[in-house]
Amino acid sequence: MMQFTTKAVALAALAVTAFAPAPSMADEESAGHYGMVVFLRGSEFFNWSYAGFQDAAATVGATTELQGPADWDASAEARAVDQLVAKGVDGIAVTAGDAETLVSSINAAMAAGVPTLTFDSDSPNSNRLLFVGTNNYNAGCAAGRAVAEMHGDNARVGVSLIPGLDSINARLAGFTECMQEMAPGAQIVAEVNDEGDLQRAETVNTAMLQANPEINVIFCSHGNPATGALAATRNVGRFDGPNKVDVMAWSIDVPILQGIEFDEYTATVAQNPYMMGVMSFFMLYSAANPTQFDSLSNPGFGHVPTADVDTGVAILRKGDPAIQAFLSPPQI
Amino acid sequence: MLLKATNITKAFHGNVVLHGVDFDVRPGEVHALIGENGAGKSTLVNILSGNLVADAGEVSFDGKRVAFTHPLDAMQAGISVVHQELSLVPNATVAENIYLRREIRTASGLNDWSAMFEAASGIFDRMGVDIDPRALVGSLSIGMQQLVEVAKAIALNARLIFMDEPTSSLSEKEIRELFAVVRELRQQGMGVVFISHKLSELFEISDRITVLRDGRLVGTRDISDVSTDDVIAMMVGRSLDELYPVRSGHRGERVLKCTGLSRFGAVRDVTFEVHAGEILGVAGLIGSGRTEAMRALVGADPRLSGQFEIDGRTVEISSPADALDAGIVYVSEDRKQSGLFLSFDVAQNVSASVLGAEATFGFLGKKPILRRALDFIDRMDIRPRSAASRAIDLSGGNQQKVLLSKALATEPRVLIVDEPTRGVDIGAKALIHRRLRELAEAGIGVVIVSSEMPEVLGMADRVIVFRDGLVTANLDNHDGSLSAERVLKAAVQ
Amino acid sequence: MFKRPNSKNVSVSTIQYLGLSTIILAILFGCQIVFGNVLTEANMRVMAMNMVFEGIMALGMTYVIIMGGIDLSVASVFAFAEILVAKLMVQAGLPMGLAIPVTLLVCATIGAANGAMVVAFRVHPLIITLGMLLTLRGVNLAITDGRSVSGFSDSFIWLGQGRIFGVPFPILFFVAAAVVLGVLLAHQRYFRQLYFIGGSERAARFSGVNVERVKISTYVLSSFLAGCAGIMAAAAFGAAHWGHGNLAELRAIAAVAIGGADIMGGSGTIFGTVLGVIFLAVVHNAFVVSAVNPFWYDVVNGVMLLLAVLVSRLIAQSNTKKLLSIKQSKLESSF
Repeated sequence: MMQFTTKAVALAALAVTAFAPAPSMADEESAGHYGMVVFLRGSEFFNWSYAGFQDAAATVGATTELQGPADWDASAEARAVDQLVAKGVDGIAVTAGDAETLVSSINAAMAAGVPTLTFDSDSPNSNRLLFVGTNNYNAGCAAGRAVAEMHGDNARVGVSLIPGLDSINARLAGFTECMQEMAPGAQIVAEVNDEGDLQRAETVNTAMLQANPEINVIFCSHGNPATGALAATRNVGRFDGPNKVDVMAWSIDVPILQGIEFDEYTATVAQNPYMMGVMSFFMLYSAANPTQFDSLSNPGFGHVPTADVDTGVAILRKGDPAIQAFLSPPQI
Repeated sequence: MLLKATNITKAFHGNVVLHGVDFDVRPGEVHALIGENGAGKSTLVNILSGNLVADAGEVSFDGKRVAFTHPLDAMQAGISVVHQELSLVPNATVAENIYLRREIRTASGLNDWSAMFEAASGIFDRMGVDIDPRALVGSLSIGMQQLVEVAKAIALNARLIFMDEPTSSLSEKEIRELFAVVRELRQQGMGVVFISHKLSELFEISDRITVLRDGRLVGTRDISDVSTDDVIAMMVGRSLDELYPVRSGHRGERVLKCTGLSRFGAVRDVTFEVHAGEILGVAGLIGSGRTEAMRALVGADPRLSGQFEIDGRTVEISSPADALDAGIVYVSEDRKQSGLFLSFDVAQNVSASVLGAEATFGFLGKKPILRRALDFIDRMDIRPRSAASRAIDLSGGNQQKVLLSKALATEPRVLIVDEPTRGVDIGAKALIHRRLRELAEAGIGVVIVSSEMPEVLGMADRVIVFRDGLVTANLDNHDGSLSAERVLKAAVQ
Repeated sequence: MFKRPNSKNVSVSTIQYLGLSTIILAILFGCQIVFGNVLTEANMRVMAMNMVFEGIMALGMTYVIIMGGIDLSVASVFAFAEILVAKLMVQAGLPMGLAIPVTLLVCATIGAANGAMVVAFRVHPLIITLGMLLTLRGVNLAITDGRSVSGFSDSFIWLGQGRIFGVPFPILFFVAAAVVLGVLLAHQRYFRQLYFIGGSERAARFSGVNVERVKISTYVLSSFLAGCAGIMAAAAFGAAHWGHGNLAELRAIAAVAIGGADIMGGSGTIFGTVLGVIFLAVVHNAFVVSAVNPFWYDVVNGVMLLLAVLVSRLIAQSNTKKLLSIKQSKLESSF
């Protein structure tokens, strides 16, 4: 009996401390309350996105919250979307940990009149308003131009990729076309399958460099292989010096950024997660506050673009001030 | 005759623990079964209740020849055991515990609680006790739980119930109640076998008494024909057929003084002294509090009170590490669980308690550890003579020698050894006895806790006897003339 | 006829249930008053759906824990059932009426393997089921390449999203399962044996309980329920994915422990577990409506779990103390 009382008191105390500092939402005066749902909650990439979301909301006096699992569980994201709808938020930006798992929750949110969009990872089969993120073709194009600038017609490129993924295919198409548009003599001489694995990347890239000594650029078409590709250049003795193989990474991870400052990687394709957050908010805000005319694609909501929003990439080389910015991630 | 067992023989690993024992129970009688530790009582009960299978002998129950291979066989035949440690589930009701696996059910197949409550009430009426069948067992006192166990046996239509030390956890009032129930059952023609160390209780409740000693039947008597002294005489009588090292008879300075040692629910107000040159024997039946007292002394278990002096200086002991610092080392009776590191080699075991001594800036050197191990292998005659053999591969005797070496490596002032020669062969036993005597001669206080009467009488210069958590006797034995009867009397009466 | 076996006095568990219910109601109404939008039909539905799959697993976990075991593998059995039923229907083209029984059969077999290994190797079930958790998670990843499987028929989707009188089907399933399993656990002789095994395995064996059989069948039940939850989850989310239900085993165990079951076995009820599940759902909801950093959610759950374990340990300790007190009073009177 005594023990139970203790337990109850402790709990009550806990409940009070847990809820006391809570900001009161949905004031009459407020410009609304918006939710962001991510997987890997707490990861640096999505912290950037949420910072952008928060900062953008502050400019119009709206409030925000971040929900979602700390792991890969997309079903928890779906449940978080459901929760936010039930709570009555004014808009939801979600990055789909798994495209299909989120379809029904996103559709239910839209049906309930809550504007919902996807960012960074799309759920194309859902009725989301639009997708805010990196357009893969355009990003590949930017990388292709950068290679053409560096080596001109002499560019001989090896590509580290995972076959069969739409996103990577689009990047590669953009890369090839834009590179050859600027430097018609430039060529892709080999493609290897790194299976998304770091060690595998080292093995296959080493083999690629041995079989094709004319390669002077390795283009990493996704986030994982850069470290392996760099190790491969070291394995064949072309890590530095006049015959150095340029490695173009696709990542804003701290080790890669530092590697650029140390002349290891030549450049990296940097996405813009902060911008994804900013644009996500303004899209939602616009959708939640209809003007004289409704959205063309989603009647009942305010205007949003009828095409996806490309937040673009930047090709970062040594000395770029953006590297320093990325090295000091935001606090939330 | 309700139960008749003849010529029951049982051996474990070639060690005969029952030598052709005869035992019988009449309907409507309470039959006491008594004997020293290791006399074979539990083995006999286990065989008669189907928990063990005898190597030889015949059992007939109700005139029919029976051969139980599982406790369930015995239960079905009508023999139940009320164990010392209760086998009830605290979070289930009394009725459910009684009717486990024989639940009364409704037409829908679910348990019919009201029918079970009613049936259980009927049993309690028969026993003449007032227990609510709806109560959770956990809410009952130990004494009432014991009665629930008895009710469970009755519900099984038991006609013979073995009760193993049923009174050890009961209050005086509860013992009265239990005895009333036992008499009631006797009245109804059931047989009850009562196993206990408490002679006074046995004389109060039983009709006949059977005494076992060293696995042999000493005799069965009507209780009216014998006195407590007769029973004690039957229980002892083991000859001192082994040779023990000669005593010097010299009594030196006081090494350890223990005053007012108490432990909650186990021992109370224990006081004794150990002098240089003499060995103190600690006797008492299992559960009498002797081991509990020693563990509390060295701080292995919490205690309520107790002051200790070593060589005249007061010492504070709140953990075994404190005890080691003060110079007291305790060698556990349970060498596999709390003594040796079985997967370690001899050298590591011997040095386990003195790791700090070798360390240079916290790093352990191999050489001193090896030197010490070889030294003890020599002194204690550990076989094989290799510091690298693993403790688990050694025989019981050699394990015990390693354990003693580990204790002696700490160079203690007082050595307390619990069951120094349990499970040890004759040769090792003699060597251990010789070494213990030498240690005493060398001025170390030696305390031997033992269940073996000959060992206590053969080794100790002074004997303290425990019963129910109290020291009931402090007997002199400097000339080896102490009789087993006196010790046993203090232990059981 | 269904009078619960109870003592005349109010038992500890009754007080515990009352207290837990009070806390749940306090949080619910507190949040409604401060933040609003809590006691709406939509929010209640979302709140229930949020914890329903863990809840179904917690029912089986209650049986396992009462028996003195534990089953960590439920989360990956859950995801495995999602993937298997999805693959059978979408890729192998099996009709729903065949794919579901096959999936449940496979899940039950996994449970039987858990139980058989626990019985045969005499290793703590924590280790066995942890091994199964990791193995199956690997299998889930390997057979899907980390991608989700989707494209279900509408009738299958109904199992996750369909409603009867406005109540989603998985919730009805949970309620029905809780009632049936609750009655069985409280009144059926086979399942009453779980308490005896959890209370004292040796004593149960001596009383003639077939401990091995009961253990294996209990792990089968646990996996079977996880399989049911997985199938309904695939329907609810419209996709099967290896990452679904990650760490659900811990939430299920937490619900059981918060519901008052002794994690060492021998006590616990389905009713308590249902309260524990509701508690977790309500607290989670409270974090969403209050918009407090959700990282604190794990803190509250963890503290509740520790408190619940502490209470059951304190009860056990006071029982030991009671036993010693009798001997102590005898010791004191013997002078």
